[in-house]
Amino acid sequence: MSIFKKEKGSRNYLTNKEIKEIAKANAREMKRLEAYKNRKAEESEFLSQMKNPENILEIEDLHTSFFTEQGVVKAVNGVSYDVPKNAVVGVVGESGCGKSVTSMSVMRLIQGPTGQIVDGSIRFKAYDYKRDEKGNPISDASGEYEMEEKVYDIAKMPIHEIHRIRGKQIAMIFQEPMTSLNPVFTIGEQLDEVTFIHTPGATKEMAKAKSEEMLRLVGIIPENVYGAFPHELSGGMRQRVMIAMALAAEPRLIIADEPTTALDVTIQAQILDLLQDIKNKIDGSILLITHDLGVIAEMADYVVVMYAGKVIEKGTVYEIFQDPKHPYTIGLQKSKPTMNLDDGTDLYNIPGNVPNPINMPNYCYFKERCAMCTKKCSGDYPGMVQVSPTHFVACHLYDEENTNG
Amino acid sequence: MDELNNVQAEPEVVDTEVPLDKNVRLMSPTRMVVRRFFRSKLSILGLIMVISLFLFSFVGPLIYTEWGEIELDESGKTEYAISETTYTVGGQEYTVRQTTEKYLKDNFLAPASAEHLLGTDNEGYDIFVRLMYGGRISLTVSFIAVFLITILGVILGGIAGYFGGWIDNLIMRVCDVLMCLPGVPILLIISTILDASDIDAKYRIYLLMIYLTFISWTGTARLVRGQILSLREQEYMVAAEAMGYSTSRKIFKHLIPNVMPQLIVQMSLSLGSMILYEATLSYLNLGVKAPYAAWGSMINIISTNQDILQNHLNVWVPAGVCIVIAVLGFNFVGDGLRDALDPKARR
Amino acid sequence: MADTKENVTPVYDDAALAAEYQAKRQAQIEEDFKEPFDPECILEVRHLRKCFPIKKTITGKVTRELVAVDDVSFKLKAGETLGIVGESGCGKTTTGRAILKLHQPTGGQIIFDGKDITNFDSKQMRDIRKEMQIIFQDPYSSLPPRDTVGGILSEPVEVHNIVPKDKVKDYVLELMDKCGLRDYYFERYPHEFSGGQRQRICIARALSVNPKLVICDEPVSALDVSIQAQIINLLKKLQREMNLAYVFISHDLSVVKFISDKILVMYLGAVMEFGSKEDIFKNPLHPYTKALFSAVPNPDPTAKTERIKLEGDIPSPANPPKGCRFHTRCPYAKEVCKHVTPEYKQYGEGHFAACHLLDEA
Repeated sequence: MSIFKKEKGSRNYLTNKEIKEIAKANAREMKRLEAYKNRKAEESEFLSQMKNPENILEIEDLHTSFFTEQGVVKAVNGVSYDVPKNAVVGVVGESGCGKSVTSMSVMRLIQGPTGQIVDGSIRFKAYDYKRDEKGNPISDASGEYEMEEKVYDIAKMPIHEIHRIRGKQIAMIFQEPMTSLNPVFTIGEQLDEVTFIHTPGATKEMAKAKSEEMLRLVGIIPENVYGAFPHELSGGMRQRVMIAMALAAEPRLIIADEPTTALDVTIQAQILDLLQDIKNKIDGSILLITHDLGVIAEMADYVVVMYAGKVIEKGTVYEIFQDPKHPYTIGLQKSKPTMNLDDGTDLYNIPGNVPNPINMPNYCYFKERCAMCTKKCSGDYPGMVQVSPTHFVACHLYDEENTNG
Repeated sequence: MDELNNVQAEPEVVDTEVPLDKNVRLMSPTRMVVRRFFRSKLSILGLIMVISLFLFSFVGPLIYTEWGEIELDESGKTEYAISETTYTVGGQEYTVRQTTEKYLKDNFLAPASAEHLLGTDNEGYDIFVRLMYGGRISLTVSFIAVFLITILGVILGGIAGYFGGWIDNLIMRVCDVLMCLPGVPILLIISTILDASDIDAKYRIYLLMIYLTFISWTGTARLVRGQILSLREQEYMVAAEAMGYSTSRKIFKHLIPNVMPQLIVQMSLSLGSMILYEATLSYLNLGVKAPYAAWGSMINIISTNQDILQNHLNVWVPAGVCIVIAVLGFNFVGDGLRDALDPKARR
Repeated sequence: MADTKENVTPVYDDAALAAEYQAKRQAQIEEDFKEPFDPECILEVRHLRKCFPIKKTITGKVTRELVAVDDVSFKLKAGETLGIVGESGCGKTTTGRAILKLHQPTGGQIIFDGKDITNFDSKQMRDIRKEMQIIFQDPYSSLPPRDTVGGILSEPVEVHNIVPKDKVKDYVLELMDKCGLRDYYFERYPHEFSGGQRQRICIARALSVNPKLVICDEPVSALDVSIQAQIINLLKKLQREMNLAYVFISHDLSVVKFISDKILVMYLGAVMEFGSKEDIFKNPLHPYTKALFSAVPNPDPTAKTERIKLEGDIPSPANPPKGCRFHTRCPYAKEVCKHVTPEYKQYGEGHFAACHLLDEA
């Protein structure tokens, strides 16, 4: 059997020389980006303007890369989407599509030096203190701080300035409720801490009152839980506490990264209801990241579909679920067995796997798995085509439609 | 897009992924470890240190045969001593001046020269040669000890981990007891017994190392037990159980190979500490006894003579350097192996 | 009868009720054990019970135990799939492993292929292992990392002498082809593969010994949607070709619905409802089944269905509620549910459930 003979000179892995070259190039690039990240900068350098004042977050052409030993992984490769005020934006995609990396970039939680935001902008409309030239908050005679609305470009912010936003303006809820709470402190202590950090001059009583209010907001009776340790609570309760912690700083945007994936269905239903409820109460936006189409359909107003580090389709939830355009979106929806589905013979399935993230082709990344591909698909990566005022798709199938009218 | 929805793809059961390209390694896990190991400069340095010490100790004496381990340099120079003796014989004083020829048989404490590359010690042995022979003892002894520790640890730890229950309890309590024993005092007692029982100076160090093995296998046993306990919970072990494999197959084919990485790291790190142990014993004059050489006993010379400590650095510093190189070398290799085996642990 | 129920709050003597229930059940179990084995069924499980000790005295006497599986019974024919659904801690995984005797059952009978294997020792089990196999949830930890795909797949074939030694490689290659693995993967190591491909390798390993029954323990839960579909289709294809019986354990109702013929709904170690797929999905009887279905998010944004909300958390399986286990969360719970364990009864052809509310109607 010829296939088992090792061909001479066949290189199925990188040679040491190539590894060295990659390491050298990576080191140079990482050093430059680290320096940019840690630089000192005036506030004016990272102030920006929103394109659309209705939005709270605008991500534009974001590139986030990981410099690995085998080469540069472009985990987020030119992603753009907006989060309007008081809306739930759902980001959906399979593992490795860059949906989490995008949100981590927004929080600037990408682990350096291997992971770096390379390019693009993340504009966020913050409600922050007025600051003097040194960046200290300005307070008036009575000790009250003045607030103003300003737009930060998070991608350009030096890392030591990120405390202005992280946790306070944008809060995050993680997937693992089991590991996101510190096991040695009580729930109350951990909640109070949030208030202490984000509210200057907070007293113990204030913090406790605030914490209890937050716990009530997420449907927990504070008396039972305030003094408890995380291990005494169930997964669903912990996720509620995580949500309470995220809310304690009164954020304008909550990023929920697979908030219900680790939970049972009945508990998931409770948490989803809670999130929906809270969004209405706090007058903020939610960026919901999940692989579960059902969760997206129930929760989101707008949907962003990502594939291999790129946005391939975005639109309102009705457009995406009732009139999906991209073959991947269609395939994804058809491949999920649903409760309504009556006995089909087999599930539709998208053949193959996501391409190797290091050597991405020039043409459409989905081409090899696509049942609909045409000659055009071997050409350049398709651009975003607008098919309705709110519906965009990156696929050559719709190029014509656009030009015709 | 009706036609799009109507495409009912053939129920695709064949995996149509693009063939693995050059970024996907066609490498066995062992090969990947070797590759990662050699990517670290420190581990290469450690390997060079260890290998050169080995060559020095084991091949060295075969090439450099000028002097033997217990061969005295008897080319001592002749010195003349003038003595004056005064007698009184009947009130008359006679002074007798006598010149005596004194043969210094041994060429001791000679400085470094072409003849003696590092000089000689206070007995007249060649230091360079004794370093090589001392290295033989130190390295052999530590290898034997580590080997014994590993065998004992794997067997007992493996039994404890795999079978659990009362036997696990028993072995672990024995471990606890052994860990409570004060090692050095007992060592002193054993050494005294050995002194009394007329054992060849060359071999008593091996007996001491066996004692050391006896009290230090507990660490390895605990490591192996812990590993096996966690591996047992891995689903591929449950799969092996479900496959109906025999117990010996499960242990030797599936468990032991997966414990090996941690074991190799543990072994290379404990080699360093065994060298230190051996040096300490020899320094305390419990290990290799004169006239045989060991690095520790070569340093021990300074305790006999203050003058050597201050003025004859060539007598004791080289042995110290050898110990440092050996221990550092083994630790570098051990660290390198650990990083290579588990690249995630570094971050 | 109805009058007394409405007017007088019945006083329940919990201890007496429990004793009565135990006695009744014991009698039922003994009666069932006497029944002959159903020759049509590849697997018959009768009153399976599995307890794990939580607390032991120094002498090894168990003082407290966790009843992970309590009284599970079902029958499965060759070529059929039984889906077991339930939330975490409901004992579905333990049930699967107890069938394979990876956990020795505490009570009950497991009849596999006409043999009562409940009390087989490990030597007798070794021969029967090749008839029943398991596929795990995590494709990463279920393959030994230091062996090639070829080695992993050849080992069971060699151990059980499925084919002559010189034909092992051809046999394995054929098997790999069947499971959608390319032949040059033979020399590759598991770490080079993605989750879906690893799961294919796991399936190939399970099928290498020509089993009659495969326990699939959440085989697609760790995979992406598009890969999930590939694996489910593969499992269905292999079932058709090899006439396999599956016990398909999952928390994902939509997947279970897609692949199963019969469905067993479990909650805290006990069976809530059992029936054919049509019965369970079109006509669910138990409030827990209904709630479970309505909790699944619907990927159709226009259909905002009314949910049956379940309040509170799943109680700890170490300390399940008295009476009906589900009464703490049941929106329709009555006084009787808190004290009396409901009987597991038949409510239609092959449709069983355990709920007091069904008796009243």
